[in-house]
Amino acid sequence: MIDTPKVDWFALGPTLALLGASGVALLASVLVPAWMRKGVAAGLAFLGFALAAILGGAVFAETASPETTIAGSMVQDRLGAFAQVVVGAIGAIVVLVSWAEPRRSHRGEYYALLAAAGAGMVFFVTASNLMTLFLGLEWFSLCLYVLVAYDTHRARSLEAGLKYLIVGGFGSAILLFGSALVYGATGELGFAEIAAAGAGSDPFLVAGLAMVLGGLAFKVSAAPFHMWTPDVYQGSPSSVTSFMSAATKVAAMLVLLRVLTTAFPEEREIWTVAVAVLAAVSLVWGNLAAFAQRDVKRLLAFSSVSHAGFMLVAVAAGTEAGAEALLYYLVPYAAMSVGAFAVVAARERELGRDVSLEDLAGLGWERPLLGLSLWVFMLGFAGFPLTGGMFGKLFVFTAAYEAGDWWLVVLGVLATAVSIAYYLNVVRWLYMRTGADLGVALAGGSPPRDAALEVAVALTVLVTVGSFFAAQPILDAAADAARSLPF
Amino acid sequence: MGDVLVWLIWFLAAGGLLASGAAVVSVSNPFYSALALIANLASLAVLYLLLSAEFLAAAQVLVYAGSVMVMFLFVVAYLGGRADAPWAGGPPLLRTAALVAAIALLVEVVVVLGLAWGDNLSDPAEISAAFGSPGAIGELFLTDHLLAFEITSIVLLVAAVGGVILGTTPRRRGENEHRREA
Repeated sequence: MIDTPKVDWFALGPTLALLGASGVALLASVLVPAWMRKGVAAGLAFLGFALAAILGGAVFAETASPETTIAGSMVQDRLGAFAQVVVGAIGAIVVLVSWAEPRRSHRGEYYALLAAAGAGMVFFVTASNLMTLFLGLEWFSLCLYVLVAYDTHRARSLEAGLKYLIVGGFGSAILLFGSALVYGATGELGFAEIAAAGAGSDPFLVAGLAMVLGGLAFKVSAAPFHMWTPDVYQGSPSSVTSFMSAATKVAAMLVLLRVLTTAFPEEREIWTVAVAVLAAVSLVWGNLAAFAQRDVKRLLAFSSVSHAGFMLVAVAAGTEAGAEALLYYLVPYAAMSVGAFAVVAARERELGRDVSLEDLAGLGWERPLLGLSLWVFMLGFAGFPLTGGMFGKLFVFTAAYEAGDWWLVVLGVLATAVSIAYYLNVVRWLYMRTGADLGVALAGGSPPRDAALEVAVALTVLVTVGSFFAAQPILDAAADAARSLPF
Repeated sequence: MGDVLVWLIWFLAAGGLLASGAAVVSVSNPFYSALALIANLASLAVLYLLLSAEFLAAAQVLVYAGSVMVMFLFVVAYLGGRADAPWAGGPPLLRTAALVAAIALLVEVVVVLGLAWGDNLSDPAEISAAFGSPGAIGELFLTDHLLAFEITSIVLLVAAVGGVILGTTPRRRGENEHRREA
């Protein structure tokens, strides 16, 4: 008689909610009458994401100390639950952003895949051995490869899908190779067991650590592993970009933090330096390259590379304060990122083409809500007060300073100063010129108001500004979550 | 006697592996290339058997030789089995990289042979008789790796759904749309 492990359905709840929503949405997009397929599938995906966030919140409330379940394959802790709440909220907002996206076919299946990608991420953040780590990564990555190439009638979308597939596959292969080396050095798969094996600075273990770090750096799009980011962000449907830029980054950053602190505590001197170098390169490269961009989505892509740099500064601190700062940073960042790409998506739908900086001309006057929101997001990205972006940067720099990484603080402040220029340039285009001056013409007249997208943008503005005024509750939750890591 | 037989099988399998591997990359007709790959995978399966990994050997034959190869052959047939121009060596950078990789491999082989010669490699792993058997692996699927096993099925399902979506999307406006909606 085989002694099967007990399955902890409660810990699996958020994943199962999204997986269920995805499955039913997929069935609905085949079985229900054609005219209501999109509505049913979108509603199911929205419910799935909302339920995942709620169940994640329940796990957060119920779990005082971390425990591994299902034969050590996954961990039930507040760090994972925190990420589940954030990813669930992002997904629900992205469903709203996606609603009015022009799509020629497979309108229902889109939402099924989106929910499946969300399920993968929500599972990924609870992975606690190398096997579930890789499977979780592949799960959401495969969904994203398809979503990126979803607009098959646009060559750029197909190109982005192929690029992401090849580069992402390469990143996954590196992660897998690294995992094999770590397994070879320690004979263990579980993160805690790898740490307990005490392999010290065995060259295979260190090589494996480096490759695992590299593989995850692909996903968080940290330089120099960011090569795919601008092309993929530009080519994919804007709603998918908004999902990727926020949710993938949240999930991959948290898993990076979890793997480094739980599996490699003995090698802290090695990986803090490696992560600090990644952070520095991302800050420099992301900010300098963002200057040269004319396309708004590419600009935001490089801005997301630079923000990966800021987040890695917090990881490089290697302390509990650093983990708290990272968790706090992710909340306003995710909101601003989804919101900014949503505004770009709205302009894209109006003009029927890729949006360059010139195409933003006059948006601030024509659509006051969207213009004002984009203004808020840009100020938030740059770290101005009255947005959560300010506290995010403040906490990250404080953590880095306390850990002795003063050079990263200097670099971060310089990068912030530089970034103000291109963020404000976007605002300048919004208000200083009118579209009529430049002959920016709407495609086929002004489209009807997109209420779903406007609600989504308003929600993200609310979070961006709210995380400034309600910083303490978020920080408390972040502190609770960070305590589930062994520092 | 048993030892001699094992060595004989090892040599046959290893020789077959090398020969078929060389054939895969040197034959100009992609159809023959794919067929040589089958021989390659089968020889590898024999080596797995010698390492007492019966399950891996069976899975190798079933999954690779059985289904993946059929897919390769489908693609070859779909694209028309036209012979490519023989490989001329590629750009200089590629040739340099190939040379470096070949030298690295040679060094590796020399090191391993050296270690074996000096008897520094005789550190046999202690494994139980059931190691790598279908039963032992099946038990792992239901115990230690239950969740990973289930997640694998989801990953495959997601990939299949994605493939179908991308594959059935009409390229031109209107085409297929009515058939699908009907």
